Amino acid sequence: MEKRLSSLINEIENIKKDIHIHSVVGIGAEAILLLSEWMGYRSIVKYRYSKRYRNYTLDVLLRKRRTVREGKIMITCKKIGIPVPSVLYIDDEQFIILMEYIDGIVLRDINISINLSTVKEMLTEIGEYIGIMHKNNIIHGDLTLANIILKEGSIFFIDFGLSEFSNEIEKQGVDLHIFMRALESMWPSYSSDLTRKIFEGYANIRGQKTAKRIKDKIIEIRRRGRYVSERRKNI
Amino acid sequence: MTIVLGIESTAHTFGVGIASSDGKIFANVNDTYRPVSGGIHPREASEHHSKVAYKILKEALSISNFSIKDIDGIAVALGPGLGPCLRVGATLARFLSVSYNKPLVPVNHAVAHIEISRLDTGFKDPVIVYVAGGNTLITSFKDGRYRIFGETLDMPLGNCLDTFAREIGLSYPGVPKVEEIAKKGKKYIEMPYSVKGQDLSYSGLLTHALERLKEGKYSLEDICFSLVETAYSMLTEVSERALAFLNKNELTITGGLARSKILCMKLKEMAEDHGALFKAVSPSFAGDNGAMIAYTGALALNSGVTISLEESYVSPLWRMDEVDIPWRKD
Repeated sequence: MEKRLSSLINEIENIKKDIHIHSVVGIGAEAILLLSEWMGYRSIVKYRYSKRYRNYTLDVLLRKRRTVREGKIMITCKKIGIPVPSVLYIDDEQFIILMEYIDGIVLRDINISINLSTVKEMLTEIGEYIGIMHKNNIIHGDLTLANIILKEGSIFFIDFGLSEFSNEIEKQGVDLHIFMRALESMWPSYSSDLTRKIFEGYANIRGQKTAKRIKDKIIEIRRRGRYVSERRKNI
Repeated sequence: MTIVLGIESTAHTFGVGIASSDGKIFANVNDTYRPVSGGIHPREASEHHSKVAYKILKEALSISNFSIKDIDGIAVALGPGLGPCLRVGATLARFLSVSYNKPLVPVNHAVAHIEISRLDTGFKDPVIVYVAGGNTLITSFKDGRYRIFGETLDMPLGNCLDTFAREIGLSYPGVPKVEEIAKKGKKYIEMPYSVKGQDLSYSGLLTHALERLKEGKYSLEDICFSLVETAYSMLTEVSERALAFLNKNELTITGGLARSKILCMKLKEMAEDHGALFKAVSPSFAGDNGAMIAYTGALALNSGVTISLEESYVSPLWRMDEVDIPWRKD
């Protein structure tokens, strides 16, 4: 693992020589994140590394597409008031995005039993931001608990690697369904309460009628899954 | 030590296994229904099960050298699966339970795939990729249950490749045949790569592959290669996401697709790159089998899990994350 990290760091230093790398922030499923300094800014380098399990053509295609899309959508989010790190630099040939460093903790690492009321409040706010994204035809595509950062009471959305522009209600439904599933698997005993908070915030932005439509869509999406208890009502 | 006889009949396979709670498999006898053409017809499969049931049961007992009186309980997979098929196993299990006065133990088929994989690989707390003709999901143990950290939103991977095989005139099971053709392909043709967060979707991929074929512009080899490459890369990617998210260091694959060397190689390379160990369940325990029901039944009975005759309905849509796992602690 150590060897692999240092070879990835070498790779990046060779690609972009004006970056001074401090440390590894994390290695995720598709990219490595490095704390670094660039033109005096404390910043994060997100480098989408190659996957040896993937066919080379497919690998390049996915890395390029996701790098471009992520950069584009983060910039759009910033414009419409979604809290995201500022994008400093994008290189779609080398699969690198340089962005502002947010010094906080991810939602996943919060101790829910101590911070229940704070988490509930935050989920209403998160629901509102998701509402703003959807209203502006942005689908995050990967709303997991590791992709929301908290810093001094403020929320930041990160990892737009699977995001896309779309106004399809289906995709908005899947977006929220993924977030709900993440809450259910992480905090099963609180999940129904937390889900309600998300919808509260979501409806604040999109209105009760649209929120209801999306809610129904999510039920439909869940019914389509395998072995779903909701499906039994129809048998 | 608890010894349990387990009956599997959820889909195309009828199987009887005998196993103990400490992980000894004394018998694992299975017979799989093979349709002459097309897919599995539930009624025809259940007729097959009724025909072979007695023979399989007798053979399992004779291989194990146990008499049914030595057995502590009768386990049966009550779901998920095809209703008519499930009923054959459930009926036999109820009959044995009443006739020999043995407790009846309900087993979830998906949980059984996981437990046999843990036994076989020796992994304590792995991330599990469960892929077969009827299932595609990524799961791991958390808060008393196997929670789902990613699954198909529509069609299972095995079903996708089997259906493609059927459409191009190959008989069931299609996966190994499509893989054989794929090995001869060279050029990657872009296909819908549908990863949605931790979930996946295969129905669009199947439609796309069939349309490319109809166009006649590409060779069958290249289409199979691209289809397999896309389908397996998608699954490996969501498995990678679950592994990274859960921060665990063991990865296993169970279910019929565990026999796929191409898929196992991808998962192995991915796991290695994340500093995790990878082991696939052995081929004899990969597909549906009686031993996994017996072993899981023995674990369950050991923890006091039984079901009364009146409640022992089959549950065709029984989700794995509805099942409490009292034999595991966090």
